[in-house]
Amino acid sequence: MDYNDFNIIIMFLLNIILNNLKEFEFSLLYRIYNLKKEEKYMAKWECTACGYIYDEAEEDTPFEDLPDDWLCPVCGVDNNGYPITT
Amino acid sequence: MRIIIVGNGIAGTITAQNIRKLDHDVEIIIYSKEGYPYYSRIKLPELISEKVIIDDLIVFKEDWYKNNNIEVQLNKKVKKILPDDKTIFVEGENESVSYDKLILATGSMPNLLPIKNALEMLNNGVFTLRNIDDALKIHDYIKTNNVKKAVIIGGGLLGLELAKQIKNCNLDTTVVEFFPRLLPRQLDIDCGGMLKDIIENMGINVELDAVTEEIYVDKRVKGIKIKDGREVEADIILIQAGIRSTINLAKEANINTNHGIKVNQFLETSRRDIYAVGDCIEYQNQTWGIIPACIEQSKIVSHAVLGKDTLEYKGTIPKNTLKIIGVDLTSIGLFDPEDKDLIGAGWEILKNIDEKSNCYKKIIIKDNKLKGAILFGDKKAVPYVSKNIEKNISDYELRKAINLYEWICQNCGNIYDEAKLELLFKDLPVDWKCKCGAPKNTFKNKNLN
Repeated sequence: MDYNDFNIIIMFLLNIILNNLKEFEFSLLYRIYNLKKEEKYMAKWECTACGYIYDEAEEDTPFEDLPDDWLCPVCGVDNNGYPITT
Repeated sequence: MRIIIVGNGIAGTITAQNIRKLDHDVEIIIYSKEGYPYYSRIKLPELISEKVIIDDLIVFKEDWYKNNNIEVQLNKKVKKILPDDKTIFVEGENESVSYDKLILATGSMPNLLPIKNALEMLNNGVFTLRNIDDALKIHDYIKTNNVKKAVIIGGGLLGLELAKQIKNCNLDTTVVEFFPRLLPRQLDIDCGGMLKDIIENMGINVELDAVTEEIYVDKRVKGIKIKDGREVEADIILIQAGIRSTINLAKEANINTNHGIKVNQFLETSRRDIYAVGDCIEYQNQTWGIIPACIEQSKIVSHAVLGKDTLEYKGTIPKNTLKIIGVDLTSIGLFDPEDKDLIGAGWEILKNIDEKSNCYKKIIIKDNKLKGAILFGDKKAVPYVSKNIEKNISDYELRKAINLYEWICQNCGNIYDEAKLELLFKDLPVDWKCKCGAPKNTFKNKNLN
């Protein structure tokens, strides 16, 4: 958990308290919180041709933001990889 | 114009894709003797261990062929080429099919070593692995024959990747390698030793320097005998000892072949309008059998068949990655200049060895040109090395990529160069001192600041 997460949680809790657990507010905030969490998710992408794994946790750029002319560093194929879970 | 491609592996498929990118109208037909659209061979071992199902392997499904207007004929084995008539014959069909350009992407097949009983017991306890059907056969044999112990003959990339998945099937697994180290074509002896430790820690037994002489059979497969007398028990034996180009079809059509189908720099064979690409080719007496070569060649051949002869093939620098989860290993180009006399005459070897975290990085340079590398335990430098192989490199960028630094003593100017010394600066003892007597913390990183 980093500083941002911490902030979100504090905001989240404060809002719950301030709004006295109003059902509507609760669900909205909860959704925003989950959205923030998803944004931070680091995916692993596997090259469809050679199996090279692009691990977002180890790279500076999320896979989807790589330029169109990006090539797999191992085999040089320009296909898109697909996400995998390990 | 009609282009026919024989073979639906990576070379054939990527070639079709490249042709379509260059030309929207040309007719493309792919013939495959297998019953599946283009799938990932590298995942075959995971099919055996049930980590994936067939559908997960398929990279391009039916809609890809449809969207790209590429026709694929599955379960259609091309049995004959008539180069003079520019036609092919498909097994089981009487009518010939004509082509304007023909591309052979027939791939390769596993080497079956001259081991006693290997051929006799093939597909009955002895298997090779090349396609989905092979994987299913192995899977079924393990399930139905109460298999407890497995031997994998071949400690190369394919052998090790297979061994890992066989181990995942909870079998007692042994890898038998002819050379005195694992991955003899990708690693030097030091790094091979580190890899052996990791493989053994996975619970896989390793037998090196082992020439398999005989497969013991008593109705079923019982084990193997190694030339020096060692014996390993096994209920199943998997041979993954390299590949050889599939050249029969070309040979029977009187196309020049040697180890592979001979091609020129445009990947043309000896017969007009017939080209070849991928594992099946031989160019300047060399064959490849690696994915990066297939990708590179598919670009060349797609330009050539469309009459855009601007690209010339110059061979592909060997590049291999071991695909075992948790082991990052890439080997590129020249990795072990064996002639020690070369060192000094323009040759430079930089090493970053961190045994504690199982890291081994070795960079080979000649006259400031990057000639090769082994990157083990850390793949951050893979893109850098891939991009700069055979190119002039800057010392600063290289050091940054492989984390090898020069440390300079603020007191006397003495330089501790990690690339030339055994120990990394951080691993020096706390009470280590400079020649001038200054303590370790007097040193500053010369490259980063």
